[in-house]
Amino acid sequence: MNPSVARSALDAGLDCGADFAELFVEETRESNLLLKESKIDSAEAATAFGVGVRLIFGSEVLYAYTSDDSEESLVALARKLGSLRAAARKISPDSPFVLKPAARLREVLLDPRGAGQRAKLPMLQTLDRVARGAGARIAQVSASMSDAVSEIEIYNSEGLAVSDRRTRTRLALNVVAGEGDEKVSARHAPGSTLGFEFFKGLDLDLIARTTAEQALRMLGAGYVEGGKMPVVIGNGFGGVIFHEACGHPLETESVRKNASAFGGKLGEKIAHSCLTAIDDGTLPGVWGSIAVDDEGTPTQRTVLIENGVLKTFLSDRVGAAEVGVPRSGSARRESYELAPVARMRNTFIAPGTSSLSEMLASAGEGLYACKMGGGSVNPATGEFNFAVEEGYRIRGGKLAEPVRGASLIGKGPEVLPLISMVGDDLELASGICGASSGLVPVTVGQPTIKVDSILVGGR
Amino acid sequence: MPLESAVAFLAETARKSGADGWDLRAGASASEGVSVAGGRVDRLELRSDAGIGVRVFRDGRPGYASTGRLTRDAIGRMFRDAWDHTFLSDALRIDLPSPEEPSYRETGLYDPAVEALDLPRMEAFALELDRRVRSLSSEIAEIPELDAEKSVSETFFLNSNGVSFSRRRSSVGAGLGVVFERDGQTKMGVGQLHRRGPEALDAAYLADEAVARGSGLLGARPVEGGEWPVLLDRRVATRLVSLYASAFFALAVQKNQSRMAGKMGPAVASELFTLRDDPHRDGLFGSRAFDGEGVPTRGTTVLERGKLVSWLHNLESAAREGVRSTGNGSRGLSGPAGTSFNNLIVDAGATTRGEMLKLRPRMLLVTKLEGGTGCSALSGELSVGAQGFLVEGGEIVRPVDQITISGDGFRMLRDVVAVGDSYDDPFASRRVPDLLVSSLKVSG
Repeated sequence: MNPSVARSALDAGLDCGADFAELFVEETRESNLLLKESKIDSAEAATAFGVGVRLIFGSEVLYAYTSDDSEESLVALARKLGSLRAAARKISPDSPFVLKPAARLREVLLDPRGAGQRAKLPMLQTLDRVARGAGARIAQVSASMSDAVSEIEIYNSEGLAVSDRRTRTRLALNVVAGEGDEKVSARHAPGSTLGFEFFKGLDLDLIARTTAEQALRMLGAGYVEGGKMPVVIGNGFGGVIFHEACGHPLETESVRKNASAFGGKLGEKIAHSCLTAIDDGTLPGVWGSIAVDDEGTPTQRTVLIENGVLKTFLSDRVGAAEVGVPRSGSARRESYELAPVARMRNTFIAPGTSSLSEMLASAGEGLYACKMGGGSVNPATGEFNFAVEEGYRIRGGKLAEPVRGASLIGKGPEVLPLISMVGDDLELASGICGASSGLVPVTVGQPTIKVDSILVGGR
Repeated sequence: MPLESAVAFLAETARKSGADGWDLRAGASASEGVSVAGGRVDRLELRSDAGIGVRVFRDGRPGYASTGRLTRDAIGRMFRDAWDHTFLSDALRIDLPSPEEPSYRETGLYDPAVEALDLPRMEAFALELDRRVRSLSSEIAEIPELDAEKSVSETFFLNSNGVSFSRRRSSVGAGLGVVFERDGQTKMGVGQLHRRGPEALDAAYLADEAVARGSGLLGARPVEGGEWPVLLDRRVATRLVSLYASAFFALAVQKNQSRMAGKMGPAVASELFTLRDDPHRDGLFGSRAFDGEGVPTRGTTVLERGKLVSWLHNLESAAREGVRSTGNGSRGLSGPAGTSFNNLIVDAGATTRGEMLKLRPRMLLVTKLEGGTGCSALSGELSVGAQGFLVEGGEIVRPVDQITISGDGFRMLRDVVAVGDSYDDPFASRRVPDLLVSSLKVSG
């Protein structure tokens, strides 16, 4: 966008008395290739384009967007928006905008826009062939490779003008195993902020084989008997529970609305002293990393909980001001269609010192939730529900038979103090998180952990 | 360029391309909304958006692309992307529909009264709703979610055989989530309403609904685990039946992803259970004359008194079986067509809520599910956190929480022993009455 157009639109907002005005310009080009039933089921490309206009009056946010980026349209939109809250005119800084690219966390080697869809085809076929080769009971395999490149520009009334190119690549493999009336599925979906080199670096044989084997193992599994019991939660995607049950209430968006169980608890002990949790947007190449957040603030590593003590919240401009914490570079949005709010990036529990066998022995009788499926939480009450995708009974302190159909339910603030052991095997896993500013790529992660007691749903 | 011009330009590009066939979808929408949090206006939004997408066939091979930039360059590039994709994909042998008089005339999709509904009026409504709720209970801890929104959208469909239609729709919605607190326990109650016009802004209904659903759960505690008769409140029943509905899509059966495969004919559900797609009921949100692939819609009974009598088809699944599409194709601007119910309806029975509560000496009335991720249409698994009430001798005794209900979702349909006589929302596109299930496993 021509910076002078941005200036005119921002001035129109300030003319109405807004304390702060911002433009978010985005063009995202996505492509996806999906293989299903051993055939290319779909090949598609999509381009999204638009400009978001945000005016802030005090802590009240006025937001508008349009796909018409002409000066006339943007000025009219900013005026219309501002007219909803006309106040005394503010003065914008005089200096012209000089658009600066954000410092990259890591260079993209192969722009996926240049690599082309065709290059994905043999890799998808490999995944399909290897997964199907795992056994006659593999009923269906679908695999897709998607990439997106977003060019964004952010201008605000404080003189900020920053651009960024964000590249994301993701593989998704879903394997269904079936026998008679029974069917179970297993999924693996790694992602990155690298270019096409990410796909090239994956061990496709290993991914296909382990995913297929997981589905086959669960096909023969029985059902867990429900009830309260100790649960050892596996590393990697097991971190989804911390993300949902504790991460969301640590975002200022929950805290400022008085909808967080952790509001007002800065400096207090909210978890077992073995627990340290971090949200780090700076990890090079990792799926949830961002060079700058969607307000143009450089991202950072934020320690949320240190040895059980609550240190800070994840914040955006409005949330930081209202809650009284520093801005953490966590303002995020799905696209120009949504105003940014504080969101997680790469959130994980820091590694501890326990081994899996120590945790199993300590659990005695319980459940090993080796791989978690998805879940959800009500941030206002902390109540959560998660499905266990791959589970095993723990009997006599040792791993026993595979079980399926288990779910874990509880309340975040009540579960945190019950995390009594933390393993040394930290792993991160890619996911998509949904909240009020839409769907954003995030990483969840943890080492294997032991929770002393949690309600397990089963048959 | 305006959306109509974009449609004309893309159609002209497609006609000149030498494609075997194509269809295009385009849409534009404008909406305005207000959010209130903590008793004050948190956000006001004005949104306008447009997009266009194409599915093009070359030698039977499809290619898909879409764009939100409506310029000649961007649309031209999008069409080239779609065309390039036809060299990658495998053949999809379908016959695009030809012009045919639909058997249903769409009516009441647009309420002109939305034109007079401006943001200041919605803002005043939202603040009034906030005040009203707070006046109803002294146990309200916070109202973290309270929104009102109106939108107007226009969609276009056109294919290479000359099928074309456009649709203008309005929608007004309001909703709130209220957190109640007693003795350190917090519970949330949600109220929501969607209509074509401003009647959705019904503060009395929304406030009463949120209060009833939230404060009634205060004081909840678990019940002992075991097998329980469970009465699924109609809102919960609608959610659960919808989660398993994809097992009745022919495409899921053909792709080896449905447990209903091979079960056409015999009873797969209780004889009290009739499930249908009815796209021709005036006023329901899913009613339409054409589906997402331009096929005229028609009603389809899927389960007739428990017997599986028909799958739902889109063009792809119908072509694989050599039958006609049932008009259940769904498509966005880009990507392959899926299958969906237009209006998912489980026929109401004759039993009132009061009568159902008396059908077992003890039962659980479930009014809330904690997410739905433990439910899988593929495996049939059902394992989910729940809240509700303990019922004894036909009377509600006390609220219940911190329990899970588990079982097999398809078995649950067989175990339905009574069907309620009314629906949660008379205009929703998914309508399932209260369902009494003879037995589900409860852990607490």
